[in-house]
Amino acid sequence: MSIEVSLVLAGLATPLVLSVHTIVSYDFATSVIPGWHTTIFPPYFVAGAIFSGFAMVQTLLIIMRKVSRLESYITLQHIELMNIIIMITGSIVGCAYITELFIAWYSGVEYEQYAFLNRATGPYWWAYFFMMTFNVVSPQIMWFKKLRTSLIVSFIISIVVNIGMWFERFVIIVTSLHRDFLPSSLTMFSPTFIDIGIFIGSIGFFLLLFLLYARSFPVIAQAEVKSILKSSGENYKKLRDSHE
Amino acid sequence: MSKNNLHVLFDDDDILLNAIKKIKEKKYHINEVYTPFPVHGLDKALGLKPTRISILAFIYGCIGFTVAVLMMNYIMIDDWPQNIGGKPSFSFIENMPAFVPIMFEMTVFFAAHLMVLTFYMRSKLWPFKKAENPNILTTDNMFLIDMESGDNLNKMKVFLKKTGAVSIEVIERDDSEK
Repeated sequence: MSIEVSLVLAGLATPLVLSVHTIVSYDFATSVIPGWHTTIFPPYFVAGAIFSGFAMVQTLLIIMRKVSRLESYITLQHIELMNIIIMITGSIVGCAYITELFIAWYSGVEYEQYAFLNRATGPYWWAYFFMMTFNVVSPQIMWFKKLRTSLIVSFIISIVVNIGMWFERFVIIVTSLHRDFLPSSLTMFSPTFIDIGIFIGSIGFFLLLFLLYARSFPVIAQAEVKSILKSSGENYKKLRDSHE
Repeated sequence: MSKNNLHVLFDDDDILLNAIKKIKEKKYHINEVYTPFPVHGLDKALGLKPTRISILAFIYGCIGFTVAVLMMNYIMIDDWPQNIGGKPSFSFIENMPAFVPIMFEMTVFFAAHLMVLTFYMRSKLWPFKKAENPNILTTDNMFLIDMESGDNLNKMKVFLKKTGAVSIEVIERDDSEK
């Protein structure tokens, strides 16, 4: 029965992931703000969610595996495969960035053209630069097997990707809003004490829940690991039987 | 003659499955099987009925969908209609597309949570419940069949050893309970 429950939950959760990120992106796309009014947002946000999600998990996983001594269960191969997914989704996100630029030019809408030119070369060029470097360029080093099987490189890249995805949200929200149709509305963003407090607080709250979970529940579902070890141990069993 | 219960230990799930097939062939009664992880094909070997939990999940989903429709109709149409972006919300049909995400998410929410709760209730599990394993080894690497001994204990022991049992423990059944 528990297998059936897991199966139905997986079937419900997969479309939920797509729907949640699609709808979040619609919150932007249904507005008429140049830079937000984009039909590529749903797939772009879904790819970005997988990308940043894997990077976040990679960061926590590398630490947890060391702290809880799970090296024999979470192997280097798991980390390598996650790195490959980070590389692929990073490239998809990169394609989305370039498509956005192309469509802004191709649409012939001067507001869109200005929004994207200003995004890349205006006063917030540095945010766009960090977003591009951290999200699109940095995961490309995972093409090299030596680098993607290195724990230190994986850890650094996962942190860099997390920061890059923060810059992506910063670019989407701040650079689209700091210019408006009225010159009197042109402004620069300066975070208030509360903005910074919410940001730090959200990290603290996340870590609180994560550490409470890690403290009170098994970090790895042991019963599931046993059944997987069993099936991957089949070869060993055949070998043992043939020697008897 | 009073029958005893047997706790038969195995150290491999393939041997366990074969043993269960042989025990079933001989028509001996199995009370319960304890394993350290979900063994594929065990439910079929024991002749358990397929679970109906996915039917329940569908019903729970339908309940969630209905709750979402009624909720959004009450909030956005009946109780407090608003004119959002030049689109007044006086009719459910016309404003329904904006409620689709809520309907979908409430469907998933109800189906997932109620299904897991049902699973725990049917498995008689709740927080801080004491484990019912007769042998603590079944949480590590051993598989245990709890079965009735039949009339001839020695014959049974020989038969079980042949199926690959590691150890057989006779549990005296307390008849005073009945």
